[in-house]
Amino acid sequence: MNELIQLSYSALRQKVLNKEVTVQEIVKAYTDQMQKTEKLNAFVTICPDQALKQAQEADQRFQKGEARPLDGFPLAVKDNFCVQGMRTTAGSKILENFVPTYTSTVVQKLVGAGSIVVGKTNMDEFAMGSSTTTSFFGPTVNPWKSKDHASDLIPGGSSGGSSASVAAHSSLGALGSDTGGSIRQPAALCGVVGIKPTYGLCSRYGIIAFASSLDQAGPFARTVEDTALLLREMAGHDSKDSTSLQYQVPDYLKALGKSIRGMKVGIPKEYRPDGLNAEIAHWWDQTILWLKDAGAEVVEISLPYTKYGLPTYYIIAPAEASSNLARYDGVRYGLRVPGGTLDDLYSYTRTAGFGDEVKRRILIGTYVLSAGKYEDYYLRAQRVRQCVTNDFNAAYQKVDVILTPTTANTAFKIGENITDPIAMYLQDVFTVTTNLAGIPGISVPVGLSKEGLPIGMQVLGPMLQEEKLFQFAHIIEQAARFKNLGGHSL
Amino acid sequence: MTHSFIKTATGLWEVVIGLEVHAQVKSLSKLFSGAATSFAADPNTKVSLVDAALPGMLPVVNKFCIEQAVKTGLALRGDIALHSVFDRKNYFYADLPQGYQISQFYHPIVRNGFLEIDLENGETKTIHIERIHLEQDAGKSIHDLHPDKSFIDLNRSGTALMEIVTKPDMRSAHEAMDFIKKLRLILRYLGSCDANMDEGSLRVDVNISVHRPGTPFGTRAEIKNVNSIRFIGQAIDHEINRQIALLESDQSVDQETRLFDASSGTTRSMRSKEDAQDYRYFPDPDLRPIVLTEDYIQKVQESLPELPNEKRTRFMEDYGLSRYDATVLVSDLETPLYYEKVLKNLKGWKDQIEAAKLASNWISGELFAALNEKNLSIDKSPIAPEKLAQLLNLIGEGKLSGRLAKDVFEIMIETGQEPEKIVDEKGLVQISDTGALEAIVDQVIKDNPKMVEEYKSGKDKLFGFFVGQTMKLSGGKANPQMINEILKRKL
Amino acid sequence: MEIKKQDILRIERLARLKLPEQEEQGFSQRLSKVFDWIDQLREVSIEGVDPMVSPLDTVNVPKTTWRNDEVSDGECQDQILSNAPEAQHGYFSVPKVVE
Ligand SMILES: [Mg+2]
Ligand SMILES: [Zn+2]
Repeated sequence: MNELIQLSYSALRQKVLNKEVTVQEIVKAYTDQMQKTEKLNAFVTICPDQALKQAQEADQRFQKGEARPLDGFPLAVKDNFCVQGMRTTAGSKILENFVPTYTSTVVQKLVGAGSIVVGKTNMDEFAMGSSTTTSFFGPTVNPWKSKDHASDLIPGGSSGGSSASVAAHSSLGALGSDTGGSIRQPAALCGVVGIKPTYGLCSRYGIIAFASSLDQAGPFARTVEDTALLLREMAGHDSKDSTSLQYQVPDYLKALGKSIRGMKVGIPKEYRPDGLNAEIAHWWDQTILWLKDAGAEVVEISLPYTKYGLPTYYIIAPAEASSNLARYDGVRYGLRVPGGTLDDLYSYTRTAGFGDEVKRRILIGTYVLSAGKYEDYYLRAQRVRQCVTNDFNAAYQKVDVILTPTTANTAFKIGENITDPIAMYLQDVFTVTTNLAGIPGISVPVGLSKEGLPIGMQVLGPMLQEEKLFQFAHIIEQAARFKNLGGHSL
Repeated sequence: MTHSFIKTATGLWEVVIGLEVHAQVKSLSKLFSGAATSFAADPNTKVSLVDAALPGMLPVVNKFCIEQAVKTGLALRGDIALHSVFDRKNYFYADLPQGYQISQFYHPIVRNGFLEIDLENGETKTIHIERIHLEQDAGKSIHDLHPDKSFIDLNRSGTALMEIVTKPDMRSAHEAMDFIKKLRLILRYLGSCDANMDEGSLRVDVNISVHRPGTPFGTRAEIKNVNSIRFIGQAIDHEINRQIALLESDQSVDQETRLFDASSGTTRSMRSKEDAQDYRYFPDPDLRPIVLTEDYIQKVQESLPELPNEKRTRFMEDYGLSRYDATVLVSDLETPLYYEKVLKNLKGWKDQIEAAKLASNWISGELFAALNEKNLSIDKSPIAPEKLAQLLNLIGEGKLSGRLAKDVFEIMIETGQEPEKIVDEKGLVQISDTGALEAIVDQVIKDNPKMVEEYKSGKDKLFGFFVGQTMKLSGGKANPQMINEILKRKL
Repeated sequence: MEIKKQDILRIERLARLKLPEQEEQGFSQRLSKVFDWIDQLREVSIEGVDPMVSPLDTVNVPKTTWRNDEVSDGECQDQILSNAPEAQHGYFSVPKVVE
């Protein structure tokens, strides 16, 4: 095992500054690990040569004393972030050969800060899913195995390639996008940290859209500190995105180590349904104890509209997606399946290019917007969305943050197909309300199940209160002393 | 309200017309991207990644375009929405890269305007405007470059349009044509749109139906592709005949989209029968609502230029022009400017009103005729307004007769010379010397004894004959007023 | 809420895509089930609640983001066409469209 891939960014940076190691050596260690863990299928596209070239440039900047805040940070990027000259597929056949001539704003910012893109990670097709099994490029395998090692597990999704690569130490940090839990859920199932920032904190420019009013980019890392570092560099206003907030991004690192004494943590009773997995419930209680020990006051709260969050989400997200995905028509880019007429070309291309789950969601979305259904479904869902948001606003009158489990279960087996669509949608039950309201949420690993699988807790906060999230997440991290998967143990 | 019914062998018909006008906003860049707007350019050069709907691209609205819609709404006396929203109109079409058009459906930026048109009988009529909304234009498909391919050019894709929708208030081709003329003029005064129908910056869709008076409206057809005011008249007339013929032979009118064919002056059903449309409008989550303040609207209101009707009223009140004359002068952007420059340079007139009327007559008479012949617009006139004023001043000073002035004008229009110089060089100065004129009159009396006798026996009408003869003998230079006096005295 | 086969055919047409033939029947059942579940939203009292379009509705930010009217983009035909499945003479090309 290479020790380099075990270290946090600040430790690596110190070593480079001390001239104990070069960025090229670090990047080499990571690209070697990418090869060793290839069977996880975490990456759709890798770019080791380009990464090494950028590492050289980073080394030169270190030598000149001109190092940037993230110089030499090996970064994996979910394959729905456009990167100039690098194939970007969103996990879909319809974009199998799409090479953007432009780079998404967040990647631009991170690369500008010195981070090095090592590859593009696998994902559920167009981010639609919670398992990274709907990708055209095959499923990603969770680096964690249950104790019996019997079968491969899902990494969660849709950003499962990113969470798996961070867990497998084939990247130091990764970018994901979260529409209904797609950062936090895979972070929990892979035992890493992941944050979905406030809607509008990070630019959506250059990110392949799923549901525009819910999508938000965010980082993964193995530590809260590295996660905070990445978010600090990628956040901020972008004039190319009309939904980007005008906001002065604080230095999130300053929130780490701050006391939470006297702060209030809300525990929503609706998140403890009768059938909640006992181990998850146990770790939730354990986390509450840690926070109490650190001086926080724990308060039971009620979020009564929680149960309506999922059905609301399953109207709004497909509706927006059905429109966002209309541009994939075989005319300007992407797959084209010829047809006698243009209309045939559209239908053949979209039928061949989209996978089944994407098709189902496009059809659901088309249906809820169609004549006679709009008011009954879409408009009603928007009103319920407001109710869900009001729930949170009321809660934050009383508490600073809210603590819930990130997922209802640990990772399940690949191929253990959930045929009941509603059971499948329930994967997102703890995460979607956050996206509906636009508030931030962070998932932190807290422990392992008896099977030996990671469990994550989620800290939610009011709009733009990411500092509080990091502050609490750091306390939890310190208390949990969660052991990341060693790069060697794979 | 006036009614213009159509009478056929079976009785009376009433025609109902509503218009949907797409006016291209005169902006430098597109509604949601920084690519240039352009009329003619190489294909796909005035296109940004946003206009081509590349994955991950997002719209950002152009402030200027919003302001133009507000301006236009105010000029058409509409209510400006303090909160309006961009919606997506979802459908698949070759020139629609996003798979949806960003438009305004539920909450348009302007509602409830109106515009007055002039009827043929001289009365005016109010045409109500239902709404004005902002939306993106589509690209263009080119069908004639390849035997079995269509080519797509996205240069126009994303250009800002104001869609101006009238209520079905018009009852004849004349009314629809006059509405478009008036609207076009207002847009040009505002500068919010070039309003060139032949370049496509003003496009009109005509909704038309016929019914028996006193019965509900008939099924309407929508006619697209009508790109001149004359064609609007033709398309409506053809469509009226077609619809009446159908109904009179017990057939029905289909609710459909038809294309106007300029070569035959007829309309035809669009060949591609589209499925029942279901546009699935919903608010575009990539954009924020347009939120305006009363203050902003007030500022735009204050920035509005004087509009054609206001200018006409002022010309009538200040310059004593007839409604007709004032209408002619304000019916384009440059003429009223030219006119008022002429007025500014008029000197030495005792009767200002007389001078203003004379200037108006000269512009809409001689000048328009000459420019028309040369195919020039008034801002390219070889006679600058200052020089026309000099010419009129010579008339006012009695140095030129109207007839001589016309001769001078002919030379001016060809050479652009100053009128005084022409008068000097050609010796065209009016003869106002009493002695000289009396000699000419005496000669005329002497030459026409028979006529003099008849005149004296009561044939008053012959007076004009003597004036004409005197004028002729003087080579057109005689001062007409003085001739009158002298003739009266001597006869 | 029952979703019929003909509804599926209608929305497939609107969305310009087809499910595998054998799935259309199964999908209508599956979709009916999803909508039965979604229909629990009918019990929510939404009287007087405004529809929420975006999370930004609730934050205090200037509502309108707008740009000045400047030409800052375009003139990149090569980029626009670089991923085109078929392009000729600077145009995208598609099967002949009849109007
Ligand atoms: Mg229309
Ligand atoms: Zn329109």
